Amino acid sequence: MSNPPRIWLSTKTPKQGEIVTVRTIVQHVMETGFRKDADGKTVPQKIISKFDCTLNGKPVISWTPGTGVSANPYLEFRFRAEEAGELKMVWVDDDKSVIEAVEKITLT
Amino acid sequence: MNRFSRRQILALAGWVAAVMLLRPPRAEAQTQDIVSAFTGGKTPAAGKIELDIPFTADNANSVPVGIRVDSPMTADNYCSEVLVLAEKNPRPKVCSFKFEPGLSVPYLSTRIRLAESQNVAVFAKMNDGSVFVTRKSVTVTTGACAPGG
Repeated sequence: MSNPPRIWLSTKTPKQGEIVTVRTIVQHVMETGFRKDADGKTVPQKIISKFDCTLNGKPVISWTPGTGVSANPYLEFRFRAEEAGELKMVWVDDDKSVIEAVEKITLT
Repeated sequence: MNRFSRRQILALAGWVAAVMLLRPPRAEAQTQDIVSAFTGGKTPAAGKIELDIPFTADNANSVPVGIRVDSPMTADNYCSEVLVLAEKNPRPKVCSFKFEPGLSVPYLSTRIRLAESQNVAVFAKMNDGSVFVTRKSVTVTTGACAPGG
């Protein structure tokens, strides 16, 4: 959880109705629970198990990653900029810890 | 004299072999459960999904996947769910997505792990319950479950 997620938006000042592309990457091991460490013990599963993005609380995309998602999960998605406001992104770990990011969207 | 004729024994042996061949392996049964839970028993149709995935993946720990579903995303006609399935992974369900009409655009791109060369299937569910599927075969040079991988 040391580094904040990296986020890129195609524009933070879209026209109303414009489709905006968002690229996100967050640092996380995405441990599958299948691997064994040097002592032969199974490394317990630890993954991001939920990602939600909302604009002013309205749902944009909801993602349920499994163990088949790569380490440092990358997600690119798009949304329709119907209103200005806060684009909020939330990653939830198996252990319930949360990573959050907010981007301000202004219409032009 | 044998109690069974040669013909009877051969027929029995053939029948046993057929049953063993037809019985799906465990992972496959798991995949079927995931699919039927997603489709609600409907037969998925082809089309509507554009799946962008490399034909050969050099790094099976990070295979880029791009998905675009053809849907107007209006209140009465939209794509509600997308499921990514890697049939030969230890857990075939890779990830799933949910969309809502209004702000959502059914387009996404992520990176996944593949245990071995296999078909990657993407299912999309529409709000009316209809289901679509697209499959692409991916060849993996070293699987994501290989030691040190």
